[in-house]
Amino acid sequence: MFSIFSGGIRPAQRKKATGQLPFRPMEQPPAQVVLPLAGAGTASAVPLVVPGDRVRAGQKLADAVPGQAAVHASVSGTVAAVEPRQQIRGGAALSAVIDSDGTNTPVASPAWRRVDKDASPASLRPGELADIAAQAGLTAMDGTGRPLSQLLRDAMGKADALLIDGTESEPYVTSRRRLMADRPEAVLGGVRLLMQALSLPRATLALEGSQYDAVAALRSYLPLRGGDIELRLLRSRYPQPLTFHQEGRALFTVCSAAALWDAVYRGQALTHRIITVAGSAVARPANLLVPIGTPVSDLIREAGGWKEEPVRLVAGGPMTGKAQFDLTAPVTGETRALLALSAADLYPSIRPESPCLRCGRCVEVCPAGLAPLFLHLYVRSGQWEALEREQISACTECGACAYVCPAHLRLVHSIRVGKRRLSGAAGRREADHEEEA
Amino acid sequence: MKKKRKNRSGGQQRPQHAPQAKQNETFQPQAAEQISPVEKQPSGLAGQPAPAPLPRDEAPRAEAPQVNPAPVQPQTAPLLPKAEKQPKLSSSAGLGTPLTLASAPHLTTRDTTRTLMLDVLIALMPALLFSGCYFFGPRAFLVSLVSAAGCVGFEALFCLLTRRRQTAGDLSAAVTGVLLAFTLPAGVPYWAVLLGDFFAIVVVKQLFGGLGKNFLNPALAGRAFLFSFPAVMTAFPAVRSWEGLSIDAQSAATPMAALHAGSLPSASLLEMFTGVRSGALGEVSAALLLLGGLYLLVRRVIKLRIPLSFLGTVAVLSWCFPQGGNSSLDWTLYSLMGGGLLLAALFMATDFTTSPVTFWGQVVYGVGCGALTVFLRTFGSYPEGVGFAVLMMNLLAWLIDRASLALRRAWRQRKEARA
Repeated sequence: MFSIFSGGIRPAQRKKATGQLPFRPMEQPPAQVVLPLAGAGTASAVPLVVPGDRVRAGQKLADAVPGQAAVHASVSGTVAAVEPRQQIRGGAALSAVIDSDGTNTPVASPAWRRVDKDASPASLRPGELADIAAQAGLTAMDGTGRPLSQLLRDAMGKADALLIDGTESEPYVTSRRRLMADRPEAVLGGVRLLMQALSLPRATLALEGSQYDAVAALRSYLPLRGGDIELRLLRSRYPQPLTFHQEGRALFTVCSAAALWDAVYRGQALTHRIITVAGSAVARPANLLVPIGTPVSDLIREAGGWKEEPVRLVAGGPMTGKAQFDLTAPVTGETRALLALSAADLYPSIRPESPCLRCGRCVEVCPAGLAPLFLHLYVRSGQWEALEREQISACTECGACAYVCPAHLRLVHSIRVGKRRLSGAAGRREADHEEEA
Repeated sequence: MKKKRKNRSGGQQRPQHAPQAKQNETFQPQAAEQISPVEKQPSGLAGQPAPAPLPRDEAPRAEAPQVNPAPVQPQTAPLLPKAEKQPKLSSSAGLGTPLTLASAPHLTTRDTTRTLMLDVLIALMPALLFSGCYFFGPRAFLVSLVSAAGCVGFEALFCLLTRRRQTAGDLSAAVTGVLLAFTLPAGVPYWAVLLGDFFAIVVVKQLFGGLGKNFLNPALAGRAFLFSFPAVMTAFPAVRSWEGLSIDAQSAATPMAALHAGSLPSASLLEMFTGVRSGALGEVSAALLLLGGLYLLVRRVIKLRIPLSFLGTVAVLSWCFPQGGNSSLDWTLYSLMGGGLLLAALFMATDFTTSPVTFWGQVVYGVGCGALTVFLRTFGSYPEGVGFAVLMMNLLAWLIDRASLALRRAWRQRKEARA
């Protein structure tokens, strides 16, 4: 179940239901979308629309502010309201609420130079690509929501290697796999654009051997060897050590790469993304191409509604995603999956806690080399100073420790409590908004 | 006293449903309770995913919906118990169902304390079966059964009397009981078994906080306590000397006694391996103990590093310092299979609670156990030193953990500084 020496776990994949389903657009598009204009708490972007305005799909709703990409309308229609709305990451954020007119009329032309489909990436200057990424509101799409343009500018000239992350080792989630399998040319084109943006001659695309249809699709577009993009197949393992931060290496997701391709060659802003709707509580699990801002309840309906009683609704993967209580919250560009988990899916995780055995499994699997059992002990006994000594801030909250704990201790929860206590009142608000689905 | 009361309730008597805004009266006492300390036992509810109660401002999602009042998430309830009703929802498809909230991860392993302990019991079965059916007769079964029942009984009784959460069901007490029986001579009187059980469970385990908090291996500590009665503890019957329930009280010389005197025992190596030799109830057969250890390794209940470093150290030291002019090979093999070494290395030293948690900590712990074993066997006045060696290293387990974690931190800081 978990490897012996280097941390990480191998949870059961549970991807059979959606793994081989090509992504599809929603049959019943949302009647209303809610687009957060700013991460709650961060400097709020000034809305460019007021209630009553007619907007077209792809029209800009808010400019980028530091740490937050520009926001574009994902449907055409009328702005119903600009007001704070509940978000899936928790808390409310100023959002534009758009009533869809159902036509999805796109904007006449994007704000950036549209590139001919046959033009090679080399015809674009690196700086121009970062500008397009900024204009199109592209984000890292890795759960953090950082603007892609900022990441590109940070990495320019500094990175000497480029790694594109196509792995998804969390159970249930298959959105990246379907993106790679169903749109390989967009993914590879996007990777080449990223290479051009960073002036690097080659890139590595990491994906898992279990994503075999994605591998086959990508391979058919790549020479067997000696190509500019190297496929690296990994064993499924959570978290994937290859995707950890490394000095001098730029890391982007396949979703960002495809979104950049769409922006450059099709003039599309970031308005849609693929989301896996799965879990045994929904009737028809699916990979859906969803307009950003679609309320969670519309996704559930699109997946056939409830099949059995959902005990927990998780936005994001089951290891790091957030449990939802408000089905009106909209999905964002960072939402990989929406999981409606039944009691059977959840079963072992809802067992009551029992005393820590000191078995050391959490220490075994911690990719950060921490000892979660001691962090847990210090938090539960209020020894806050000891937490700092134990370097609690090195924890990435991957959840591997809580996964393997035979006592079913809520280790990640304790660690979050400890971190928040240490960051103090000032840091508290930021900590709230760092974690996204 | 107050704390104990909270412990007992373990969250079980707290109202399960998320208080709606209107029910403020019923909610108040709970809110007052939640402000109080963090160390409240996180036992949780059956089927209740919300983690332990924590001070209000530490809750992970203290932020209630400020704008959209539809789902009432009261500010005062940082951790929603069981169910949060969805009062109004536009969509079809029966979206009015209760949803639970909890920190990620939302999936966990199926292993529990009980399944791990059950695995240990299963791993002990081969040695017990052969002991009962062949080496020492049905009395071996009876002693083990009495010991396990005694431990479970004392644990249940203690939990009952102190109003703690009942933990007898997690089988850890049963494991302690069987392991204690394994270290005793098969002819041991039952009162001694129960006395050992009492010391192991009540004094060593429960008085220090119960499962996971004891700093000595309860079974070994119980055995050490029984050395107050040396006549009982040294009357090792010979194998196959049983007749029905009775067993030849005549004590036979154990191989360990011969080794302690510096000579090779009369039993052949094959007899040592299969277990046709005198000794404690469960320790005689090296083959069956190895079989059980293999099962635990395959089931990933234990890791190889403690047994390997333990046995490896004993092997190296025996090889280097054979006693009484014997050949290194013979001496090493007899040392490894003699006494309770295999039982201790595979089942006692690997006890979760009393061994370190870090990789290198476990290696150091195993090496320490091995070195102390050889030291005590050679220089001690009692032939067998394994039990005391493990007990001594138990005392050092926390220290080893602290040291290895401090080293790990220092190493990480150095690496960061270099980068």
